[in-house]
Amino acid sequence: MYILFTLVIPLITAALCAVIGRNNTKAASYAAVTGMTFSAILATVYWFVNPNVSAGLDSIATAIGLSSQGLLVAYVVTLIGTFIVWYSFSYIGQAGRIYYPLLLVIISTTAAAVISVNVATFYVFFEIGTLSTAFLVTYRGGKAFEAATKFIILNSIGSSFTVIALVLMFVTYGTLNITLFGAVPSSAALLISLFLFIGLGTKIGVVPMHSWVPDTYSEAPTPVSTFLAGTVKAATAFVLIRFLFALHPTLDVVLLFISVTAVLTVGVAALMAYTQKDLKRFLAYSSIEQAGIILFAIGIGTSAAITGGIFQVINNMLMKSLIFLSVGAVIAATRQRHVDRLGCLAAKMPIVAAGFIIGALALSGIPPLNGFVSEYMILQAGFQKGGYYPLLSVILLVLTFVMFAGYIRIFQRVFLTVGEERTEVEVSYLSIYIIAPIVILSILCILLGVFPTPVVDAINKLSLAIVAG
Amino acid sequence: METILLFGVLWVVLTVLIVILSDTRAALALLGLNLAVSVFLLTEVDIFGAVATAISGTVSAAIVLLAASRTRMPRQQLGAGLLVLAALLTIAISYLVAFSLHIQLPAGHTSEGYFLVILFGLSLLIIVSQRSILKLLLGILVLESIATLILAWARNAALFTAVSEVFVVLITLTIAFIAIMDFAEYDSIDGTELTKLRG
Repeated sequence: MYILFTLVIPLITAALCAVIGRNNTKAASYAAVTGMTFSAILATVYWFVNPNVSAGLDSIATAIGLSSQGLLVAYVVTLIGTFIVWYSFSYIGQAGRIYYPLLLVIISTTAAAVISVNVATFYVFFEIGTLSTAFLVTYRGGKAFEAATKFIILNSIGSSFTVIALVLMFVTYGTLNITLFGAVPSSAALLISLFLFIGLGTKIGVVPMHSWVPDTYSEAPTPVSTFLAGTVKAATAFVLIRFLFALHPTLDVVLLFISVTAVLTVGVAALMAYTQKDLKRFLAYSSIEQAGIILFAIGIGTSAAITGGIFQVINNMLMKSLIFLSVGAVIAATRQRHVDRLGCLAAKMPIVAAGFIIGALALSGIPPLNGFVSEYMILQAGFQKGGYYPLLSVILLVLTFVMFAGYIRIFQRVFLTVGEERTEVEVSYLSIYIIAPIVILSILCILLGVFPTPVVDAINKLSLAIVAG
Repeated sequence: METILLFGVLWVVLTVLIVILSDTRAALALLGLNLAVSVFLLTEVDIFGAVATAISGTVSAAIVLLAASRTRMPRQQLGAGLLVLAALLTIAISYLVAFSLHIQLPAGHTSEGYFLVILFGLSLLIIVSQRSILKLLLGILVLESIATLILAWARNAALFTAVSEVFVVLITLTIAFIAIMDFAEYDSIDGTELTKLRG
């Protein structure tokens, strides 16, 4: 059944949009909104009402290498994807005939990639998503081509490392199915782990392979950069968790290397973010910082840390999407994205200001929001592990305060005080398609912070299965 | 053993040529590399892999040649002499790395492993030493060739081989298209120059 809402409906809708969009771009955008909304409703019904319902598609899913493990993450991908399509409906308007098909392909392949247990199947979805993203980044033309160049070159290098890792997995274990991997000599595991980390790490934006992130996120249309920063990045981190822990044994030296890289990533991103005056570049660096926190959980490697890490993956999708969409709303309403040209927007855009501050506080790990719960779980696991990890946890904690200061600085300058250029900012009307996702995501960030237990319990079972293999 | 030595040396020579030559000639060297890989797979009785590599290798080289004809190669960052020196140094370092790791190379494929590590080193040299986007693409394609060669070690790999070769062509097509669009927009495919546009 899950294959229907993660893959089939979005892909059929994408094909429909491509056909309709030739003659009628307005009808194509309506089709995209309807298709994704239908997919999200079906996913929600499946998830909350009757998880035993089957459309007879489960055997097809198994045959092509998809599994229901990780379905919670796929559900959140579909949900966020739906919000992105709603948002695009107002933000992009009547997009050309390639926008919606490519966006829907990225959403569906991301959702499918997180539930892939077959390395070849994962590779197909991973590559289709990467190539579609490259074309979507060029959507606005001009400077976007340079950003797309950086994106496709660095991500193709990353893809080459990933495919070498996947091929090595296949050769070493003799099967494509990661759930059937047994124990192998540590030498092969070391090589595979490093190639996998570099390959997927490039897509996640790990320092030093992060240079494509600020350019791509600032030049891509806001809904696209929102989906890339919030969802694709976190989903790739989730795939890294699943594939890395499918290797037995998972090597301590690899985990320590990942932890140190994670702290370095958080440090570089937090310091770079603080100096940014372009809102989208600021958020791009903050998304690198968030990726570092998830990687730190992977580096700790205990089941408690992985639970925190997967919860952080889900929270990142919600929090990062919320803050990106809030900034997108500011850009849509004012046609400005430079901090100095903005100011005093809280009174004019109270819902957007609330969305931004909820997202910023959640990302900074401030209670009672969802980011606090997952970041607390990760840091606690770091202190419990011993060795170098308590020290790394303390450094990480200090660096997240730097990022928190960055968020507060941006909030103050954009929403509270008059901008440095002291010009009156004109604010235009924002449609319900832009406001609704901000409101829903804000509510979800609060709800998951106050009542995290059901989700954490579900993740706990998943992480135990992943770590135990 | 003699076969792998012969092919290994051929792969390394062709990859060194990719490092040194201009975009167009380097694309021809890539074609040579892909065909050499294909013939090697044929000697390993991997007929499907050989055919798939030959097709994807020829198509991707043709795409790079087409893109090179529609763009202008930027000035090389390093002179030919320096590139030859860098290539020789890379081969030496890669050999030492392979030697120190040789216990980790799969049994029965140790000799191939040495050549793959050298090819890997040379592909990284292409990526770090070149300005032309098309040259960077060629570096990526050498990395993909390494994956193809490793895949030949597995049994029942036809599906994975087919999938990976299809994506080799798609990646080539995408990067070549973006390079042509870059040239139309900025009159350059110099990666370093394009990055400076943003300040």
